[in-house]
Amino acid sequence: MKLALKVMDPDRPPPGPFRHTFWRSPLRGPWLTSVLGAALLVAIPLIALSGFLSNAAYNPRLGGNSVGRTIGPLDFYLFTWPTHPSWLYAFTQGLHVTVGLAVFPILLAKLWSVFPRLFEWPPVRSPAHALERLSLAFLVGGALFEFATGILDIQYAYLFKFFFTDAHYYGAWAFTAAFVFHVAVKFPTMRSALASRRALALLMDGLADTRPERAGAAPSGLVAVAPAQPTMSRRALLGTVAGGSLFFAVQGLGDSLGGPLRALSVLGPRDRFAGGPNGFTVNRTAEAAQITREKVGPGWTLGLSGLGRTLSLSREQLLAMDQHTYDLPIACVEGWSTTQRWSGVRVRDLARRLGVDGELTATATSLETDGVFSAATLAHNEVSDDRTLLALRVNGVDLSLDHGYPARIIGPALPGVHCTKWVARISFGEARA
Amino acid sequence: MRAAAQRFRGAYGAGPLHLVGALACFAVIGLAVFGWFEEPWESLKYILIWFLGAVLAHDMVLLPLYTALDRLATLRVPGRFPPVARTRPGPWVYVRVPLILSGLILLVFGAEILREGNATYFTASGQHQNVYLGRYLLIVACLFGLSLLAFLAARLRRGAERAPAEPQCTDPHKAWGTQTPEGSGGW
Repeated sequence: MKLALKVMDPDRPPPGPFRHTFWRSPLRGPWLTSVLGAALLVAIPLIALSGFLSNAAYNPRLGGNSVGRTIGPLDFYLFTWPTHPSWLYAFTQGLHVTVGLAVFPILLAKLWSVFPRLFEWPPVRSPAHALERLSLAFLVGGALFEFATGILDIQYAYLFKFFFTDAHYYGAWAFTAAFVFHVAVKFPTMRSALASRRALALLMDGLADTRPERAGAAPSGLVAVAPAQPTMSRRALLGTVAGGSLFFAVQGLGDSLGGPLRALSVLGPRDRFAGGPNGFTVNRTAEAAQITREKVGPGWTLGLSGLGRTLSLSREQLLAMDQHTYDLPIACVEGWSTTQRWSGVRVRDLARRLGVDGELTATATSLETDGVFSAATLAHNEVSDDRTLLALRVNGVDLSLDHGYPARIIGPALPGVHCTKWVARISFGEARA
Repeated sequence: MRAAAQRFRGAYGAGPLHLVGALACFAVIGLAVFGWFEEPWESLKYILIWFLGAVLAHDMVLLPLYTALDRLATLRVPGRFPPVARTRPGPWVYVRVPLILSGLILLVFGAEILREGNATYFTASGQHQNVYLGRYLLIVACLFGLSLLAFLAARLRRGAERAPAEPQCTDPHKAWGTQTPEGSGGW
């Protein structure tokens, strides 16, 4: 015990980064950290909220929608995912990915700004301090894990050998919990650092006037006691971070909003559309799903079942039913979306044709056999919505094989992977109240 | 009552609300980690490796790398050159800013730039990721090009300002006023 006390002597930190003199950047200080923290305080809740909404949009409690994940105590849903407005999922998911990309430079700058605190001496001062530092491990680890997996996912680089959705979902809970606690503990510090009269004046300082921040009443451990000369001003640093954020925001926005903005998204993963009515981007090619022309030839029929009834319809019979056309976005969890003009049969009309009625769910199953999302269950509000179609045509022509010929699901505010392609059968079930 | 609160604060290091918050936070973290533990061991192993690896890669590689590059940039070259030439901060910002942005973009979009996801991307979109490296290099060239233009513009302006007056002070210690001498601490 005595030895431990001697080793942990607060006045005698080990050499290297544990000593205050080691840290030389004249830019670090509570003000800089607080500015970056304030930006994160706005952005992280947006990302977290839109992320949890994305999970809710999958209606994980229905059918196989949770894709193998056990529904646990963290899965509480206050409402069934709405179908209005039709661009709701395109919006929440575009927001999630765009803000997520844009915030990454701010996150890195924030972590850089508090780096000296990793080497605090003594490492633990009290039980409260120990708990705080433990929560920081989950805060920093959770943030980096969430950003790394999300950023790799939108680029299809599954370098991690685990299922993205589950890992990202639970990682989000750990990160969010640690984030809320951190904000609760640090909010007063941030407010007092930003409340001083000179708060904005620091932004006016050019390089020649850039000095370390004045140490406040409470030692922050951030202001360098032996600063080097500045090589850039605070506004240059914040401007660089903002420039990076803006660049990433444009990449996300371009893929999400589409139109002329898509051309600006030079590194956005989904910027290349081919020409023609079926030229918009594909999320799983027929080749990858092993769908051949033979499987969807004249022999293809749509199987309908539910509540003890079954029925089989050919594509000609489907085309002979009432056709409806709606402009609906197809919106991917990876943030890109594109609105197209879809035509086909209402899913609701298919239930009527089968002779089933009431509040129904519908599970559409694809011809493809080994896709993770080869089947998806639509909630009752989606099934009863006029705009939820078994689409046969897009932009006035037959669906291409890559876009799900002979028939695919499309519906308002539906996550992209629930718009099942190459539909083989639809089974209706009673929605539990 | 107040005495009890004081005793609690003395023993714990913060007020009781802090403890309540911490316990709530760890309860949710526990549930989340428990969720991870539902994954098969092969997946779980990699989740834990990535979680710890992300922290280590950031704190033990990325941040020291920034610091090392920074020290390199402000290093004095003894002897031949007057130290002023390499410690004067002015021009460095014109290298630093495009370098930071290029590195940042590579860090974020490196996977597609280096075609790490190409196979999966192809099964998804029917396209290849082979366009991104060229685009990235173009962006890097633009960033450094713009920075060079900004540097030249600043130089011209300074030259125009300085022309009538005598040369300004070039000694960094005088120019920077009350800075402490360098060499304190070290990487």
